[in-house]
Amino acid sequence: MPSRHAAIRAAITGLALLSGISALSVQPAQAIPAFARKYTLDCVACHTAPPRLNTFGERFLENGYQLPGTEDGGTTGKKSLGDLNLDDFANYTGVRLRGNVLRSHQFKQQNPPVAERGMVHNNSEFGFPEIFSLFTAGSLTKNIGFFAELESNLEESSTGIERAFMTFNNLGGNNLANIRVGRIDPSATFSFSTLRQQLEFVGESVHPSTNMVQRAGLFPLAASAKFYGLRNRSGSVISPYAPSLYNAVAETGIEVRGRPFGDWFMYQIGMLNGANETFGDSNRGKDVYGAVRFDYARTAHFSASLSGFAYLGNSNATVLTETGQADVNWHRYGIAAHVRYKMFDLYGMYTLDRIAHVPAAALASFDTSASGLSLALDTYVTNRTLLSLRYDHMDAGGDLSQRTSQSFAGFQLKQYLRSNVALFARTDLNLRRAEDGNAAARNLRHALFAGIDIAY
Amino acid sequence: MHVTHLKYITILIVMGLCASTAQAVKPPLNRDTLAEGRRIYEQACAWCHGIGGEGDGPAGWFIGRYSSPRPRNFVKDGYKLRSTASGELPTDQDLFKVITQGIPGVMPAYRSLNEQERWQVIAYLKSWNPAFEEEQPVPLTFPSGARGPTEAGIQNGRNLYVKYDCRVCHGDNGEGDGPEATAGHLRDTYELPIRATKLTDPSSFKNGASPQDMFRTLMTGMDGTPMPAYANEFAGQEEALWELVWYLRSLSGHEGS
Amino acid sequence: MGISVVPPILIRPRGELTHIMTSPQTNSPQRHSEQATTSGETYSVKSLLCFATLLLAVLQTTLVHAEPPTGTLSGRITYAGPAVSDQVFEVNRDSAFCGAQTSIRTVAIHPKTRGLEGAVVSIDGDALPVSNAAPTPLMLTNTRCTFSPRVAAGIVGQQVEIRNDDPVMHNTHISLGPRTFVNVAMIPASRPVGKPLKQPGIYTVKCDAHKFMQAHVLAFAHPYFSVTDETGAFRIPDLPAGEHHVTIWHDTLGTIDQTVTISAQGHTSMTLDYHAAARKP
Repeated sequence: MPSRHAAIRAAITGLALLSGISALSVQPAQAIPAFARKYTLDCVACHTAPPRLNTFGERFLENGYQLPGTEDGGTTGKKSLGDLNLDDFANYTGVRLRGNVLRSHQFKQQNPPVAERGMVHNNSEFGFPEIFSLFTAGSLTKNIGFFAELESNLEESSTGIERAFMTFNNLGGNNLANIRVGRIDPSATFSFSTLRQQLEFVGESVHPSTNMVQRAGLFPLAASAKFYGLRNRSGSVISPYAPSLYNAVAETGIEVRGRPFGDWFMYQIGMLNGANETFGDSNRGKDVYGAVRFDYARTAHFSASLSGFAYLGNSNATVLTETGQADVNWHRYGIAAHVRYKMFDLYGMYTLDRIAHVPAAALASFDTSASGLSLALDTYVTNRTLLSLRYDHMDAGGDLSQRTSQSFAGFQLKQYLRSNVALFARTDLNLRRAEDGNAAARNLRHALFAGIDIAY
Repeated sequence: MHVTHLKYITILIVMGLCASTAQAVKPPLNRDTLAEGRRIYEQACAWCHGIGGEGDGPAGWFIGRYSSPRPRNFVKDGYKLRSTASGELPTDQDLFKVITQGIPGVMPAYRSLNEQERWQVIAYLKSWNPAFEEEQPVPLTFPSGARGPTEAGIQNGRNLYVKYDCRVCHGDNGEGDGPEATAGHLRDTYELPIRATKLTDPSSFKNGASPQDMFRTLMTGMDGTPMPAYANEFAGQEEALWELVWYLRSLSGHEGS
Repeated sequence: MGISVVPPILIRPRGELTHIMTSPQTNSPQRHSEQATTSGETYSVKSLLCFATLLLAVLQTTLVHAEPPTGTLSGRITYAGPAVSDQVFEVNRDSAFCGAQTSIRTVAIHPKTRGLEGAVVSIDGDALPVSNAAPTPLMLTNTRCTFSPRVAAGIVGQQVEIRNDDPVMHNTHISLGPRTFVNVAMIPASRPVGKPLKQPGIYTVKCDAHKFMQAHVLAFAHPYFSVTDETGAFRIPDLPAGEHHVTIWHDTLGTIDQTVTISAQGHTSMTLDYHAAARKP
């Protein structure tokens, strides 16, 4: 059984390999993903470091994958063939392969009662890059764009459409109204975007029959559900780690967004089918959300933004009572900010969740509020080395017997061999004291990862 | 009689059309042009080049990060990609070319802006640098390479490549790995590290990869970088410089012209 | 010939007015003929007026048409401070010719006079008259892997001529701030490259092939400057008399500002020691 020492040794070997590999001579990227191919640009024209966007990339995304200040959806990269206006396939298709080659978890209590036998004890394992994403995105014609992402989690053996939507841009005038419709991530244009994290999601582990969390997940906790004992409308337990509501990874709905008064202000209003609903569910009510964002992005290599949102759920979750499931309204309010200056990219979000309409009987054992805070900093230490830090804190709500607050700090070093090939080594530390007991949020003390991130 | 009238009328109409299209293509320098140029600039260009044109837009640092290139500072920089002599400003046509074609890897092509919009932006970005009013950049004129590449010519080009120390930066085989480059000695005007162009990869040439583009780059040099102008060395010997161009083309596998 | 009735306002310079009024040969015959004097003992008011006007006219013509009084500023810039050692550089290219190491003396002191070589003395001359004399080209030579001269000064419009006297290739790169002035490859025995200075300022001269080579060219919009020679001496002739602001620049020791009063028709001498004077690096 690999010991803690062995795990640390393995990680150090991984880091040494990493630095050794990076010493090889670096070639400019020969293969570049979709938008880079279409516009003949390096990744860093739009990204601080993929997947995070710099200001130019943000405006490109907002413009429906058209160059900011233009409406080139019908022209750039396209060939006119009769009345067809077609891109080369490579101009709108890209692949991303990422995951952990090495994973190591250290726990305070080995094999606690809440966990399946053998699932929660100090371990290190080798794997392979476990997430394969195929995405296709671009512009159909002027001001009409599209995006679809197919994600395959090789470890969980699941494949599915993550996000898939169409965009209709510059309706009524330049940046007055842009519509996204389909399976969208509402926080895409927020100051803190759930999906654009340097420290990738690390899934929690849940007991298959009791649904109790047996190993904590590592997520931007401000975006996560934060409630224990909350269920969706079909009765399945919502993991406290699931990115949800406004900060969901993919929800079906429609939104309108624009900067009608200039770059400094953006409005966003949207409507979703409902949190954690399956596609095409019959509606008992739609969730609505609104957000505003204030931007400063002019000069001195500096940009900053401040945003706030309110998400009002409408029968978008349930709690289990003696009489069965009862619909509740799960709301969230959040505020986020980002500051970018030269090599520094600092971003953070605070969210406050409230659940309304919990039946009186269940109220006694159910905490109806939860909050989360995520703060992250990325900085280029050299041209090719990215240092990332993230602090996550969850003040959990829900089932009083289960809810456990959690605080984690994550550190990651990512070495870009090219703009599209990176090796990373990461460690996450539990900042809260381990309690005697079964709480997974306190039991996981320390995690180590080393892996690869490739896009082409 | 009628035919002659018709001919004159046709000429007048055509001239009128030409005049009007010429006017639409390059607008006069006035307040409206600058206002339009400013509007386009602040939506499309300021992200890298900065609101004040100083090359310090919020997205600009990431392009080179700790090294070259950084977006052009329109207020006080010289210009790298030109058809004019070393130390001179670019012509309007040079600026139009860069905006239209972009710069591979670092700047997108703005063909999607129509011609008038591109001229308006050019008028606006020139307004930051008073030198544009004082100086009249004149493009260098060169003869075209009348003789295409020949075996002997390419061999002579190789000799020139060695004689003019090109290999010291660009490497023996044009891989950008010459001793000065690998030692990290190459710096731009802001003392940022800069790479020597990989001559085996023409798609990365910032100033164009056609033989005419390469000839021009050798003559004008790239201001702000260690790449000098060779116009004085090859004055009166343009055929020799063409042979160097054919040799450089051969490095990326172009046997013919 | 018109005679202005209102006399010009005379600004008397500090120095003496050495020009004496000339004889009244410019008087108008008409007025003169009107004044018919008697035997000469008494002058009429009219004749007095006439004489006054003539005097004014003469004064005006002589003063307006005469050259403004000028003087010369000359002297020595010295450095009496602690010795500044030469800068030593490793030569990483063409060391067979340039040597394995090279040393550059930035603070060059004359042993006898303590004079500082390569300091540029200039007057704040933007308001002063400029002559139109076309100056000879400013030569900048690559020799023995150094630039010669290490410090030069010229006037806007003057041609800078770059030469290479070495058997190795040099790449002369002259910049004014971030803007390239000229960046040319110079193979051994290449023909000289000339370019006129278009803007005033401090131009840095570098060689992209040999990083240790450095020089400066200072360009001015006026001709009132001088570079100290190896004894530290400088000389600026034809300076309008009066108070002037003087700047002394050295690439290593910094800049000093002074005010000096130029006397007309003579030499004003100025000695300045870098170590003693207030420093503005």
